[in-house]
Amino acid sequence: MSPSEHDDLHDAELSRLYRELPAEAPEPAMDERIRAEARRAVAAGPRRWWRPLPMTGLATAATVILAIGMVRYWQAEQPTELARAVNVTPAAEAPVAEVANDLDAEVPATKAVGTVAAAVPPPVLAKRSGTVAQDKAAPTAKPMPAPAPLAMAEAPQLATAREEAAGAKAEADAMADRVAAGSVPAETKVAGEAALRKPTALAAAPAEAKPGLVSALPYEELVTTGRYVEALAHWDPAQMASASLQQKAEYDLLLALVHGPQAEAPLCPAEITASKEPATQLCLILQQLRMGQPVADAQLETLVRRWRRAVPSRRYLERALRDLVRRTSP
Amino acid sequence: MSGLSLESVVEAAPSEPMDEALMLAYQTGDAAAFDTLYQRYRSRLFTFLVRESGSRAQGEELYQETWLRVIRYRGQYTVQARFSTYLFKLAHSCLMDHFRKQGRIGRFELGVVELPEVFACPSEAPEAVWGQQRTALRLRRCLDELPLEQREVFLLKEEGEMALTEIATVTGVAMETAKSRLRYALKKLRGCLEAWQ
Repeated sequence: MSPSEHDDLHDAELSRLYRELPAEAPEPAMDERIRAEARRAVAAGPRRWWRPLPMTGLATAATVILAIGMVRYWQAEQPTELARAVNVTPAAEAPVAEVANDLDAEVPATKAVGTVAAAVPPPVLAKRSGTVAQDKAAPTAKPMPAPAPLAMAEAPQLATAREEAAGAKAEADAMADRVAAGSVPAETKVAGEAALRKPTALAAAPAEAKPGLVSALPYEELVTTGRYVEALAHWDPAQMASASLQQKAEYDLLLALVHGPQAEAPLCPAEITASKEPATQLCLILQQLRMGQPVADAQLETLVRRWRRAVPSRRYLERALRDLVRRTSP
Repeated sequence: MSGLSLESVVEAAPSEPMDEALMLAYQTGDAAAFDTLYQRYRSRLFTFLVRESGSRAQGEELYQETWLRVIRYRGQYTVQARFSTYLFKLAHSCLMDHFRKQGRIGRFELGVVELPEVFACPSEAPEAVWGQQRTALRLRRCLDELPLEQREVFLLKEEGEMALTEIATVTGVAMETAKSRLRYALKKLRGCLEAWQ
């Protein structure tokens, strides 16, 4: 700074006075600390702002913690889902009883044969058997649980059906609330409950012309491969009142396969007369099994032959019938 | 500000290495260069920080932190100005951090625009005759009464032996601002000293 340029910025007297002030100095210990730090820093080499090994260890630890957390999360989630599916099942049965009461008038024939009923029907059947008045069954009815091997083999399907029942219950409750509130006509309630008995996927599938059977395309495959619970789910109990005898017999066969021949009130007429018609033959065999009477092999073969000749489209029932006879024959 | 090359720094050294050359040597691992550099600025930097902070204890803390920054950031040092400018800029940064922690930074910055025209000196009655040394000590008290930013500019000029451009660089303000601060500082110091005579 030139004094000529900045006369008002330079005061020689002040500078002189300032230089007369005693100079400050740090303690020797401070000097030594700073110098030692300078030497140590140089000896340690260039400073790196990152440390590879600690970062690698940190990343590994984070990965392990994340993996453990994900495993625990999945372990905790899956039982919860299963428990939810099982826990909602009893509640899901409640509206089914109401549906059964509503539909009793629509299926008068079922009352005549309501002498045998299941004490504890599995949930999938409770949903599907809403058309039969199982709750009004005779108190002398002998409890007959579902065949153990079948229940073991088809546990996943049952779980699926339980979930469907839970969903149906929620929707039915909502519908009942709307009816109670007057926002929905009562007829809508019945129609809505009937619709709820159809699985959602099946409701969207093209229906067969015959009543009762929602879809026949995968049905044959299910019956011939022994997936009876899923096959049963293809039937719409709400339409069974107007179904043909053949369809009623098929439905009864599936019910017997899933829950045993005594598990459900059958749709087959009790006072059925002997006939060569396959549906009548099937009803007779089911009635025999329900009453604990053995089915002769000749009788079974006769029915099978009739199916093959008269109604080849029902030949897929052969395996189901043989399974049922094999399980329930004394 | 024109940059300085290493060659020019080394060639310009008459008998002793220049500060910038010493810093570059330390950058490459020469610890003895740091010792030389430290010895050159030891007293000047410490005096500046003690007087600017107003406390020896705080000055020591700031002094150590400033040198630690020199050591820590040695790899980023490039010769763009005199080493003293670099060193006092680090010291200024430490001071700002210190004042910010103490909550004094607001008053420090407001002082730039709210400068009192008449500086009030201590109200003690001056004695009739003062010696040179006592006048210098009075100057020290007058310095303590200066606003921080004016005191800093004065100290950088006297202790750091800096030009206005360097003072502006160190304090991070425009040159006109630095000039104005210095002008006010000198005016107030003169008034303070005259009040004691």
